[in-house]
Amino acid sequence: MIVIEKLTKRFGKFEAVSNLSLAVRPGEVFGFLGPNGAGKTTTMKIMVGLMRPTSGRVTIGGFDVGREPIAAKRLIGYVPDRPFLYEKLSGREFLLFVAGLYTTERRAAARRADELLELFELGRWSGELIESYSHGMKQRLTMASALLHHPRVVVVDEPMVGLDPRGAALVKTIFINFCHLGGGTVFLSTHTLEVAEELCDRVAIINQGRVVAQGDMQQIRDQAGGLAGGQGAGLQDLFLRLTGGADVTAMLKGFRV
Amino acid sequence: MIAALRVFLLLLGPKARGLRTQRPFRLVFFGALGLGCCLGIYLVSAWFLGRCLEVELIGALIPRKLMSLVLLVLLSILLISTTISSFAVFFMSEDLGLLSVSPVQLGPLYFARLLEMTLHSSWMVVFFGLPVFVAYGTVYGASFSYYLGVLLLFPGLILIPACAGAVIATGLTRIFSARRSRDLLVFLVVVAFVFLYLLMRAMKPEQLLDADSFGSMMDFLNIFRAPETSFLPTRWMTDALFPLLLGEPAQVLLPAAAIWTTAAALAALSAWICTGLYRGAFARAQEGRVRRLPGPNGAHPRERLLGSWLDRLARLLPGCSGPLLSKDTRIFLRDTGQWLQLLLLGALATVYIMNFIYLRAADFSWFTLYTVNHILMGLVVSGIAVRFVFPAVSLEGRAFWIVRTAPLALGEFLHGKLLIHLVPLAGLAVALSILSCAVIGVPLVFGVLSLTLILALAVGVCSLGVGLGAVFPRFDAENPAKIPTGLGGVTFMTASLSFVFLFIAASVYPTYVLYRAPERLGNPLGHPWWFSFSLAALVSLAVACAWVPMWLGNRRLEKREG
Repeated sequence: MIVIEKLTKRFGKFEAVSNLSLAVRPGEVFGFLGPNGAGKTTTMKIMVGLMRPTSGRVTIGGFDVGREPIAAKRLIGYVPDRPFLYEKLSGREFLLFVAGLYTTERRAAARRADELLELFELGRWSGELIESYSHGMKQRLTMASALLHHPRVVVVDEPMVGLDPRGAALVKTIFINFCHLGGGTVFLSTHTLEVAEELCDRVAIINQGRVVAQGDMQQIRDQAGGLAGGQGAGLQDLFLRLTGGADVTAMLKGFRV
Repeated sequence: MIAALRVFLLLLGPKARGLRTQRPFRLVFFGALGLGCCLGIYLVSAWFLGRCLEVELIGALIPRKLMSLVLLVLLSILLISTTISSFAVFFMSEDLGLLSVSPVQLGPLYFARLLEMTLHSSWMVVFFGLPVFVAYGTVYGASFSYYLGVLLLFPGLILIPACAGAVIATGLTRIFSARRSRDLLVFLVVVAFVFLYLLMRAMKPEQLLDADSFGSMMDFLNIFRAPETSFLPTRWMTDALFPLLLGEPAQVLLPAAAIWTTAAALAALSAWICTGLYRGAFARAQEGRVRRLPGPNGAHPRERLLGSWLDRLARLLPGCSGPLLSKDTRIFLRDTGQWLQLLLLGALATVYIMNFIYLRAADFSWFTLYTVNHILMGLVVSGIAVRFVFPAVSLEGRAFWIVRTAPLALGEFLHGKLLIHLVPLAGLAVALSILSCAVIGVPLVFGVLSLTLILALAVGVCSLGVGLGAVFPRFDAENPAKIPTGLGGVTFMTASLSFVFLFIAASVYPTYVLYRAPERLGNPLGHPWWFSFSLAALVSLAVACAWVPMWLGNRRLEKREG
């Protein structure tokens, strides 16, 4: 469903993404992990058409995002890491506007918007202006807008930021159902390794723009096996070893806050 | 005290460093533009004061009255701008969250913010006001002590409305909330401005240069009647500066002392009031603005009615124009600062038509008025476009990712923006054209020609606005009013005014041919080459202005990343 081939993105002399290749199958929740500045958000922005790659390409459902952006975007729902929305619209009006951009028939869009507002527990607030919403409510509204047009792929940057435990559980259930029951694909980046472990069928760990490990949990352990203590370790240990965070952990032991 | 001063300087540090990161080209460009304006103000003021002094008997009185009026206007503008800025600087600034949880003393924080707000809201008034005072010095041949007096007394005068503005903003925010108070204040300011504008226009200030047009000396002097109470700081300023102009420095001390002691006392008093109210006011300012109670479909009945009309209208438009119209109209009507400007627009249109009634009374031929009318309508359309059309793309703000990730070509988005802004702009232009043609009394065929010209002009100006707005987007601008104030706004105004003048210039010959046609039946075209060239220029200009900026804007948005 998602194919990333030899993707490279440079900002001047800095290479944010370096020759990155990945493939994600339909019906899969794919986790994209990495430390801050590893190139996760840049990769996702290229996937949804907000940035252009320096070289390489991304195809979504067989459509090249660079060459056939409109067809590719029809298949994608995107949730950015920070939910910047139109603050002077109500939640419902915002969803209807987004539906208009996807040329969804108005009555069907209104029905779908109401369903999603209820699903994301925003029904009570649907008539309030977004400027009065909390961060978590804006995040849930953004997710509702991403699912509005029945996408086949949902690209989510840090889905759990700002969500309370109830909201986080809700979102996890929705993503799992979307993939495992609905046949959709979720490509998510997260810093919360428990979320990745619990939610993702497969993960890729990226560091300094390069994929350092990918596969399901067992495959990640195998790939990290060469490192001391790789076998039998949790995702957090593997993540720290693969991204150089183990040095920081050792340093922190001698640091008093 | 030293610790407080250190905190004060620490708080100002980031703002001062922010100034250094300005791009040099931009600084040079705007610096040169500003200096040019200053020079213009100085020359006009010096010429006007020189003319005033030439008037027999009362000539020496006019400059003093004028200075009092100018100072009163400057002080009123400062009071309004410092109050509005206070809401932003004291209660809505993004760094306040961090500062409010850090152990910063309120006193230094207040004075640092007061200084920042005063500089921010007064530099333009000072920059454009000082040339007037330099002109006074030149005309009166004043000594160095006058200029020194201006430099020493102006900061004190500015501090007075700044302190008052801070107290008003803090008090209002404590009672309502920052956004509601600012909306209320903006509303009152706009209404007052519209009223004053209409009043000033009705006074016909152009008559000042022709004293003979007044019935009596008292009528003439009444024009300069300004509040003359001795408790006004503007009166103290005039009383301090005029002796310096006339070389009588002994009389300066009392009014100068009145200015600075009042400023110092107000600074202390405002610090006491504002720091006392600040915690409560800041907490009030953080409260979200919940506009509607939950109800059927969540909307207020009035909004539901508007919404249903908007949705019906939106369904008639092609592509993404419908959803954009629905969204932009709702956002516009819910932002008090935006829709209130429609009042200004109404005042502008009224004054415009009133001007033609005055001009019609003068002895101009209708053809001259007809041509001047087109130039003026072009200027009005450009002026409206820079405020309402140029910011259209930038107003998407940080939510622009929604449009960028939607299955929508950016060209379609830009054309949607063009369509929804062109209809009201062209509607206003057509209304102005019909009304002004009726007032001037032009024949029907020229009325139709005027409509055609003004429609083509509106399309060109609107395309320039949307296109150049996309070339110079400011998605991070928090205040929509600031969007046209940058390099992009200046570029748009330059391009738009050039287009208006060239377009109207190209239209003059074909229109003149039509005007003279009844007298030249044998050779109606006059010079066929000139006629063809003018028509070709008209069509080329209209097509180029409708297409090139949109193409440039589309290209720039497609290249934009992030």
